[in-house]
Amino acid sequence: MDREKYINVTPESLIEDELFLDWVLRQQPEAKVFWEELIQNHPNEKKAVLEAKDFIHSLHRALSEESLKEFNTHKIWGKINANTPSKIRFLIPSKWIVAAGILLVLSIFFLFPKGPKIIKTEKGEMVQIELPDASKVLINSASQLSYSNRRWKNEKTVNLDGEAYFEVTPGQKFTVATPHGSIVVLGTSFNIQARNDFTIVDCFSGRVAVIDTKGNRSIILPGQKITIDYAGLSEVKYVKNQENVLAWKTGIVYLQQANLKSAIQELQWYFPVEIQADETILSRPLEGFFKTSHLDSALYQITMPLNLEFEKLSNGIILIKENN
Amino acid sequence: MVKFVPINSKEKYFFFMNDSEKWDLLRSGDKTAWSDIYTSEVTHLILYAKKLTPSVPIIEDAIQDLFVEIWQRKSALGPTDNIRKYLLVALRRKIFFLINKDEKKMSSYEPVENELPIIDSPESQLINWQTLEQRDSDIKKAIDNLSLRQKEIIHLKYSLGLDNKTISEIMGLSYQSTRNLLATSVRNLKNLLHFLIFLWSAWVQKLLF
Repeated sequence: MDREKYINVTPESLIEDELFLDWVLRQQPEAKVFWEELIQNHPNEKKAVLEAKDFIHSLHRALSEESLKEFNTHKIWGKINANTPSKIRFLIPSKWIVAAGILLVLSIFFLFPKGPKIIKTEKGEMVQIELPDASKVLINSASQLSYSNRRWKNEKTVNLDGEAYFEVTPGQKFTVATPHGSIVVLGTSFNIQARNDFTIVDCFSGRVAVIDTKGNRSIILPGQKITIDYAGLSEVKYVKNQENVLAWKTGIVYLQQANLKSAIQELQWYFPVEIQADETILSRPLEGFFKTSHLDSALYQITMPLNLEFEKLSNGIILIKENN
Repeated sequence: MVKFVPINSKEKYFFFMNDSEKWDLLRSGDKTAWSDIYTSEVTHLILYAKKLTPSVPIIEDAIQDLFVEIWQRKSALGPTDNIRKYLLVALRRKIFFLINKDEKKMSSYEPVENELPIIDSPESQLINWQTLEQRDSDIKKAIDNLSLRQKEIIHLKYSLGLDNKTISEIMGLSYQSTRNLLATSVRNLKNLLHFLIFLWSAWVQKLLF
């Protein structure tokens, strides 16, 4: 880079100089080295350089620190979302749709059995669907629901991995299967959260029968919940503020009787991030909630109450640590 | 140290992606990418939009339309390695479209140069202020007195730190016109500052004598 160019330089020419702006505005490391060396080797230029730097910083402040209080960015986002309703997505790439169409025609001729219908949500996505019997299901982030259209008349069974809220049309016998057991209902509304090691069922109306893999059975009523894991069924418990269980429908996840470890695990259902934390802080009890719209605020909401902080490492990992 | 590996470890999170990767994620229909782009860019967009029009409803409508359209047309969007530039160009177009609809003509965006008295500063140096607060408030006042085009280019240059080529693409000007407009704007800003200082010192003198 040409140092001679900047001998007897004026602040005026500096404030339009791209290399100078690389340092002052764009904070590029190579530019920083260049200008710091220049000041050191040519002390006469120091005054002009610092004056121009101060001026640009003032200008930047004046342009950027304007009050934005007449704008509510959350409200604008709400309107944007209201104008883009969620649809059921077809997970098959469009070029395959033609191929699938041909297969479908063939299947009629060859009585090719129809595969199950699969609805899968990405992290941070929520999808509402209607089942063939008009029952409604709202599927939460990173979850998968599948059912067989062909066999729907004989057995109304859906498979669930992840979390979903069901409103089943009255009079329909209906089964939800999770890796840990099955839930049998007769016209009711309930929430199922199927995680890696357990499934939690919350009943909001009607009666819900829960059966584990060994065939043990329990009935839960509105206001109650039950946990199923590989060992079997838990006791039926009453839930305080059960409406909080459904807050995920509005983008808020409540943490009840949680600790940092379970909070991190829950957060990972919404954000595909790798998180690291020291073993010693993982068992700290945590009550509260996090919002599923933005990673930064969610991380803040689980670390702040515990007086912890988080840092994004350059390798893409998020480190949760003591707040010093 | 305990590691919590993402449920699907192949995924790489948005924050550590470059612009092309983020944009491709959005184009593939990832709603999180879309909302994250909104969150990280909306303040910059509003600050820029305020240099184009004082109307809050126009700015809000333009930003709303922009993000709704991006989502609806996501599969038809082309690639970009500079998301901010893409959004600034699109927002600018939207705002002028809305201003036009409001006023039936673009009268509020006529390039009016030098509408304030220019006092050429005697010395070549920038101004030395008494205090930092004084300087910041003077600069704010001077910016307010620039024409809309001058305000816009100063903002693109000194708030967003864009280079002249990118600015010329956003404003739809040739490279040379961009340089000229920038030079005029900086000179005007400086002269306005001298003018403010002149008024201020005149007021101090009146007070003293």
